[in-house]
Amino acid sequence: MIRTNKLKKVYRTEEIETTALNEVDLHIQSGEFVSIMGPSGCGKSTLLNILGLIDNPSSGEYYFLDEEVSKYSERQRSNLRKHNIGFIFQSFNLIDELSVYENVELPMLYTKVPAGERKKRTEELLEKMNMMHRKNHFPQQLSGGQQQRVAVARAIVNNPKIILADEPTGNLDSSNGDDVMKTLAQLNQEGTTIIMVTHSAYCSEFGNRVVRLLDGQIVSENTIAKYRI
Amino acid sequence: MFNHYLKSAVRNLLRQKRFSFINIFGLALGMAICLLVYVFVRYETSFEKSFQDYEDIHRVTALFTDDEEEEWMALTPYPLASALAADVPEVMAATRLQSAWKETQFKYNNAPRYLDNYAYVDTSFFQVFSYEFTIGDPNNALTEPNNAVLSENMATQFFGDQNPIGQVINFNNERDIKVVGIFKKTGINSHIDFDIFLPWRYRENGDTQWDNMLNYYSYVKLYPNTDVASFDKKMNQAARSRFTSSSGDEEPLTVLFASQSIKDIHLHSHLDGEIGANSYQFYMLIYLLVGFAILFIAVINFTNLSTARSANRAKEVGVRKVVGASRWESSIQFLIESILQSLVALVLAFLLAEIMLPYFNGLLGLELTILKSTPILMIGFGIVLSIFVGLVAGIYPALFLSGFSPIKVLTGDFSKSKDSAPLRKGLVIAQFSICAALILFLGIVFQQLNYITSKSLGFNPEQIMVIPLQDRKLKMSSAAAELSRIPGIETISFANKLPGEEMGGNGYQVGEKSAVLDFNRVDENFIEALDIKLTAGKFFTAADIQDSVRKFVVNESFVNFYNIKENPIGQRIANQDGVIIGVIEDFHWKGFNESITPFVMQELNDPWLPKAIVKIHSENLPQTVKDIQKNWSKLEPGYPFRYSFLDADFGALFKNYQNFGKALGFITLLIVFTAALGLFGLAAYTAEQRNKEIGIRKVLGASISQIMVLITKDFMYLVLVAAVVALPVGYLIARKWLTSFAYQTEINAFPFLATIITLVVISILTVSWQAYRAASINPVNAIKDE
Repeated sequence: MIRTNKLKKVYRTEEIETTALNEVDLHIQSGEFVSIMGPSGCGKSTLLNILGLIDNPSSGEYYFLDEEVSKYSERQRSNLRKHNIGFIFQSFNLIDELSVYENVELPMLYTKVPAGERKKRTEELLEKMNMMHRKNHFPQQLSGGQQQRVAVARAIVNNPKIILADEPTGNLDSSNGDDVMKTLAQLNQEGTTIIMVTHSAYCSEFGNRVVRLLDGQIVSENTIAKYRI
Repeated sequence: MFNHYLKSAVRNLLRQKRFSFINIFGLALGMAICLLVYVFVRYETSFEKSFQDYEDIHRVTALFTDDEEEEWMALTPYPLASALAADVPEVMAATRLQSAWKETQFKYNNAPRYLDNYAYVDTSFFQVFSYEFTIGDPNNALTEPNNAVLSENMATQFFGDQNPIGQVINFNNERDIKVVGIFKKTGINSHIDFDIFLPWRYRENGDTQWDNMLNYYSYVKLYPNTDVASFDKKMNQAARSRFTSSSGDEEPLTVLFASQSIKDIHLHSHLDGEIGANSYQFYMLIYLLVGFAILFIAVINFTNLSTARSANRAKEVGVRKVVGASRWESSIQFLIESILQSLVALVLAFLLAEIMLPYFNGLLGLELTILKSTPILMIGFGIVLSIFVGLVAGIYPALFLSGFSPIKVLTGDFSKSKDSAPLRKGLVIAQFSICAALILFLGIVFQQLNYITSKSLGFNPEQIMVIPLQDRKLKMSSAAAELSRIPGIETISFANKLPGEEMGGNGYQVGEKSAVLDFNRVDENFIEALDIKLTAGKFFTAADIQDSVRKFVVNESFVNFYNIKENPIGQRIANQDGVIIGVIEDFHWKGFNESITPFVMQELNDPWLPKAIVKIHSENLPQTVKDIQKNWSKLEPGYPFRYSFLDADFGALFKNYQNFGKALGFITLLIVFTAALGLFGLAAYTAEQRNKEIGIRKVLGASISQIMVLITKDFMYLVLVAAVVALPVGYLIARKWLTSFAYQTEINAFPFLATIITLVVISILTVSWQAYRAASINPVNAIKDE
């Protein structure tokens, strides 16, 4: 599903050149749940952003669903992204001016899902996330855990093939964090590929593989024999 | 999707109330002025267009040339129109018009009205000008000498609801005229602005002179697609072949005729002897420019505040893009937001425009309407305007905001994302440049107005009562005798025309040189009453009127014009069979927008219905006026007493300029206010942005005043740059405006300094409140926030 070949990302300022990713070769099969770990500044988020098509690599190849996409324009990437990828962020990133319901519905507006279908899917997901009673509330009226549940609902509402989660539990207490991780594991069980950046070893155990990065390079890849659900 | 955009636009507006208010109110002010300017420009450009085939209708003008100068006149000799109709095949119809030269009494049911909105015309008049008759037949309405045609309004004023046809009105206690037709005047904007048309009388065979007395407006309607240049040629040929000199000698016709499309008259024609004062395209352009300027400033406020506050929207853009929005979709979203604001502003703009309308109408002397007469057109224009404004104001912010890279804004790396500050600074400079140019222009306008109202006129219009004689039977001598009994009167004089009025034109030949010049008929007390100085020779005496030799008193410009400085007294005026007996000092009888031209005075005798000029002592003035009224009613028993004061009449000459000054002042105020509004918003935003910096500075020991200076000085710098950029532009506009005056004030440093000081004070007042608020925050709050 995902394959990178000598993926490289270099940031340049006038005087300094920083290599965030250095010839990363990564292969992720459909249905996997991969956790990317490593110390701060090792390039985890950069990798995730490139995999999520919201950033371009400086060089190397990136095959997404067997297509080489590293040279895609923003328009092409946007198109691929909205149909195939769901994002979950540490800081939730809900839109403050939109209600819970509208936040979840939003991605379907951009994929031109008919209104009736939008309503059905939004409500189903809000039920599933146990947020139906809060559907008319605005993000600032919700707790962190509730906000992240809304964000998860939003990420999956278009039935993406892959979910990218950047520290999804970073801003949550352990109980809410656990809920989110279980939801992700559940989605993975149902066939969604998940790539998650995390600092937490505990969270990484919800996946079936851990990729460790250091200074922009993959230093180890471990398969987790018995992962949590 | 559209609903979604709309919803999020409304929520964003409501969330940021202060900035929404600044944006919407600013746009509303700008659009309100645009609506006013639009109705004004529509009015100014509508002239003559309601006449059928108006493009084929021309007025004939006359060009007099002598060695030194050319003089264009709107007036032509009486025989010209009939000569053209007979001799030039391109002419479909030709007609003459003579406008009323003074107010005349029209009496119906013993109720007199004094009107000057009437004109004498040929029977062919309505063939040229297609007035729509509601009653009567335009083709034979003016065939009888005592017929009259009235406008609907005039008929209502006279007869109320009665049928106007066949009603009889007494004309100036001389004869009865009968109403035979009613025409529609509403909606017709024309330089021919009369409510009563009367047929020629006494004149059909009488006035055949080609070369004296140019008192008639000639109009021709040409066949479609006529080549105007070749028509002009044929017209002059026809005039020359028909011309006969009034003095009987064989001199050829020196005057040249040229046609002028009637559609060009209102905005472009300022010839001698126009029917009424026409507009200037320059003024229309100034109003247009000002309308655009205020809109531009409001649009800049919008752009500036939207980009300044982009940080608040950045996360939203990032998220939307991550979940699938393209840049295009994001742009559309922001454009919808700006158009929505602009539409809300439009509603407010109509309200503001209606509130300002009476004031503008008062200044322009017009009766423009906004929504009343053409609501659909105006609303349509308003919607187009607001969509346009919304797009222009929103396009840059939309592209700017939609261009955010999601990865940067979502990872908190926003500061590196984009910087719109240089653009904002440039736009603030642009706004305040417009303000500076306008304030300077306004300053110079007021300086000039002050100059023309305080400069010596060369005569004294104070304490002079003007009483028009109405009864042809009244002798000036008996009027003078009656008035002289009243204590409190210094001098009594009579004259045909008074300073400030349009004078008559007459041909004068001295030596070899001849020209058509302004002239006036006055009696022997004229220069004493008006305090005009005699520089050579003598003035008229009572005995001169009986004398068989015609006598003339001329001004110094006349002496210079004919180059007779050595010995003006006794010079013969050949074509008038008279001599010059005196020279008076030049005086500004046309005000200051026209220079003093050669001017001739002749003795006045009775049949001219002149005006009495009564110089009154300032003491006990009301009693004197009452006494005059009492005595006067004995002199003209059938006529009500009418009078005015010369200084007020003459002051009317300046009224247009004063009104222009007021309108400009008002608009400048609005523009500066709008720009200040934007600056206020920007200062609020800057203070908010620099919160942390201010906190740290305060922890390190900065005082409130130091912080205020820190924030204020950045804006001050922009405003000063604007002043430097704009002052030359304002100066050039003012110079151009001043060229419409023959006498111009000298522009000194004062208006320049005043402009800079005004701008600095305005910007300090605008920014300092925000700066003070930012500076007085407890520093820990600012630092903790981070």
